[in-house]
Amino acid sequence: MRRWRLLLVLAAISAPAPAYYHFVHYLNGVNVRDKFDLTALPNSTVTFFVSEAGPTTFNQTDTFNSVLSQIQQAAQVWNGVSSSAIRVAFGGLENVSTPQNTPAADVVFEDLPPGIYGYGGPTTTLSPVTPANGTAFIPITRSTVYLNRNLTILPPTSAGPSYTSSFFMTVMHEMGHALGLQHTFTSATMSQATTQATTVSHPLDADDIAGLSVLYPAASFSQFGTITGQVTSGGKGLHLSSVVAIHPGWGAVSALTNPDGTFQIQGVPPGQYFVYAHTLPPDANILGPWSDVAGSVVVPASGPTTAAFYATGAANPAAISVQAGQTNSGINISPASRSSVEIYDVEVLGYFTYNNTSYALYPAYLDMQANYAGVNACANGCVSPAWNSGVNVQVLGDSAYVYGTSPVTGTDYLTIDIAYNLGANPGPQHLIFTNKDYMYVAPASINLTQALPPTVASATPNGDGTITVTGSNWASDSLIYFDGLPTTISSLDPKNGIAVVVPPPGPSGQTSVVSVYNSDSQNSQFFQLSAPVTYSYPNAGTPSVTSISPASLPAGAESMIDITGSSFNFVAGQVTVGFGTSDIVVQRVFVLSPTHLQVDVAVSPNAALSNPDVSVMSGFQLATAPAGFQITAPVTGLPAVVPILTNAISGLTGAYPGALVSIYGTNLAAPKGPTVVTIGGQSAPVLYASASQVNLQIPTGLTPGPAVLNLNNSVTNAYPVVVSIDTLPATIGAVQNNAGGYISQTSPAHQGDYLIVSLNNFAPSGASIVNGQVQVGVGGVMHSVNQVSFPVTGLYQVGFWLNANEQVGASQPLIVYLNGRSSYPATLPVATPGGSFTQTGTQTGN
Amino acid sequence: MVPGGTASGRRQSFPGVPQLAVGTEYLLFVWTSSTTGITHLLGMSQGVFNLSRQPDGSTLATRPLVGEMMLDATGRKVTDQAIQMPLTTLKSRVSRTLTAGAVK
Repeated sequence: MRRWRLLLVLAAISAPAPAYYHFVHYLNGVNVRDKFDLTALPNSTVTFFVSEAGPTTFNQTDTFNSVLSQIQQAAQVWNGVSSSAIRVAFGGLENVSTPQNTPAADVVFEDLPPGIYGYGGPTTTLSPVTPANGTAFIPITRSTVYLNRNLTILPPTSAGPSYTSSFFMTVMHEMGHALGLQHTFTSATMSQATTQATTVSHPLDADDIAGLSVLYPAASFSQFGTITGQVTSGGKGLHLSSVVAIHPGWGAVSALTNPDGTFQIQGVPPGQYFVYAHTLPPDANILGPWSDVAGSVVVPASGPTTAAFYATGAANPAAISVQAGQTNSGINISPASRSSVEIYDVEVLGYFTYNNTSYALYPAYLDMQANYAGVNACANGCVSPAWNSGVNVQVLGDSAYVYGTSPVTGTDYLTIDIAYNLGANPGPQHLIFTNKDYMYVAPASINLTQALPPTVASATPNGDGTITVTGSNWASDSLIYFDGLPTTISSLDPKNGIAVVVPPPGPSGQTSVVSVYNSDSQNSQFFQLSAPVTYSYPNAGTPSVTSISPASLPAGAESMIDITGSSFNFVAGQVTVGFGTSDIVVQRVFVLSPTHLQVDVAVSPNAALSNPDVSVMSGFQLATAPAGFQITAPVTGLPAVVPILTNAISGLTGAYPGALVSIYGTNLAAPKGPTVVTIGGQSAPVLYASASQVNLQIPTGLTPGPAVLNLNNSVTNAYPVVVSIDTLPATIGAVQNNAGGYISQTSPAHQGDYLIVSLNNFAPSGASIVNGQVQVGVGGVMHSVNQVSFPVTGLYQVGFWLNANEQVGASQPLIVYLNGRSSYPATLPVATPGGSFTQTGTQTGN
Repeated sequence: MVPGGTASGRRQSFPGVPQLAVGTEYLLFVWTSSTTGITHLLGMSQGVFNLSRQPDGSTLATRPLVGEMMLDATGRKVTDQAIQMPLTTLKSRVSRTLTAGAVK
């Protein structure tokens, strides 16, 4: 009886594990993870609010505004994971005592003990839910990131001030925990600081992206591949073995094994991979997995093993080919058990000399312009036993090789001499350390580059609001930041290291550190962290919020809010408005002037009644209106318009004058009478109205840009909202075949033809458009394009191939898309090869 | 205060925070905030030593390497090391350090 019970328990906890490592509970045969319920999040968006009781003490030149800019940028990076369905937003400031009912996340600055920079994680219910798709999860109700409120505990030469990479990467890491990710062991952002190899200019690695996407998969996640198998030792499955798919020159993607040793690595970009399994380091610092909901019973890891590659061991690991949407199964690995984890947490340092000062950096960036380099590595917290029994080091793949190792006398470091092979590609490379009976792989521990790190020499105001920045080792895609915010680059001469930039708006007294980031992950703070070039903003008034109208809304309302400020410089794309509660979602911000905003907001129907603070940020400019807003009780029957105009014609996009569009919401129509809509003060003919949807025509006389939409459902008015009116679409002037002949009913296009479509009003004259931005729809079937040209002013031409089996017809709808925006439709007669149409549309000939 | 735990139908989880088990003996290094009055573990896992009885009756204090970013008292990033030593040795080292600090 006892034996049967044991087997049942093992069966119950052997469900396939997802890639990565989340907060996992083994419940009734299912791996149940902690995650946000996307259906409970407005617009599938988790918003991070920052406690307005920010840091209490700052380093020289640092400000709360700069701190906020870094948190804002970190949220933006996580939001950029397109293969994940969760969106991440920065919500401005909050008073943490404001009652809130909608799931979200908070960033709180606290008095933390010495040695703690921050920590973060989720708060969940104790009740798993099973949605319609059948994958049970435990809902996160709120997440919190705690950061040390004293930013002077760190000298300028170390992590600390908000402009440093360390501060930003700490925020990134803790936000990852808040989203539901735990530690991984691939030198990614969610790896611990000792092995983390990501940087401000490469803030997420493949494993971070896979981790978030597995938890919240978007449709595009199917573009990745999957690897499955089992890790065993002595015939027994190993629990919590980390299995890593790794490719020289790229990052790595990993998974942890189930109690029976099975694993499933999802989110692997297509390509060739080596796969290895390794035991977790003693300082893995992961929570769970648990066999209960409350997280009180941990299912322990199996004992330590050496690392082992799939198939043939370290000397000759076998590569597997991962295809999009495909699964590589049977990738079984059998590492030998060991009494301890002999090598772990390998840290590899590279060295630079700049202005007669030596710098040691992890990971080791190696400039391939030199033929070789020496790096120093330590392990296990830099204590010598890791190297005592002798160690062999090799580079995975063929970009580089190790030609010598030697202990550094009097230290716990091992010097590794590395040379590069002819034609070596830049990017992260992985070192393999082996002693007589143990192997360890250090992903991305060296990074091959083709240039030295960039520097900044000066930042000089030009008197017209622009700044000239100079420096060295720049590239054509270098980015220039002021503290945590990017500048707008007006011109960039990478060869001579000169750029003219427009800085983000900043308040009087703001002094920002100027940094250059290169796409090879190097940045100017490598050399200049202790003495960076700064820019001080000129004297100006103190920004303030002067009016908010309306200043209250009932729960469930959608409305435009008009905000004015003084001494602000509102710049489109750089303004954040926060209403201090997750119960109010800012849908969109329209900048009407440097001191005037219109903001669309949605108040949750389940909102807590409150008086939240309102915060407005433009670049580094910040002002708050304490208790500046009020959420009142819901109003029965109040119409609420979601301020998005959706083109109602199949295949067309854009909301332009004359377009037929749909708007959605609640209580949009009432039995008493017709629904009346105006946009920009002009009547919009209503074609259909129901409680949840209204179809209407946008007035033809409107000017593109923001316009106020008013709706009356015959009983009461909705709150006005702002909608965006698009410019008129491009028009298709002509279609020609490859011989230059014009396509018409009597001279149709033929299946397999190459066609050239001429368009007016397609894009601004001379705009640089690449083929990937353009698609052509024929009869609803999308075609990629082979040519986009700009022969004369005002005219663009797009070339594409009709399919050999293209749908035949005298009037196939033809639409050209630029970045998803459709042209006006035209008709394209498509015949079989050699065929034509009569005036009545009947095909003749073949 | 150890961040995280379960209360009122909610569970809060913070990776990197040590999980203390009922029935296990620990030696804790703690720090009390002068502003909030809250007593924290010093350096999270860094401040937690497991105590285990040895066959000879002595007590061994152990603490694994901490992989998180750690800072010393002046805020500089430090490289951590796993620690294992008899409890008596640890106590005497603490005592010596405190005494040296008092002399200064």
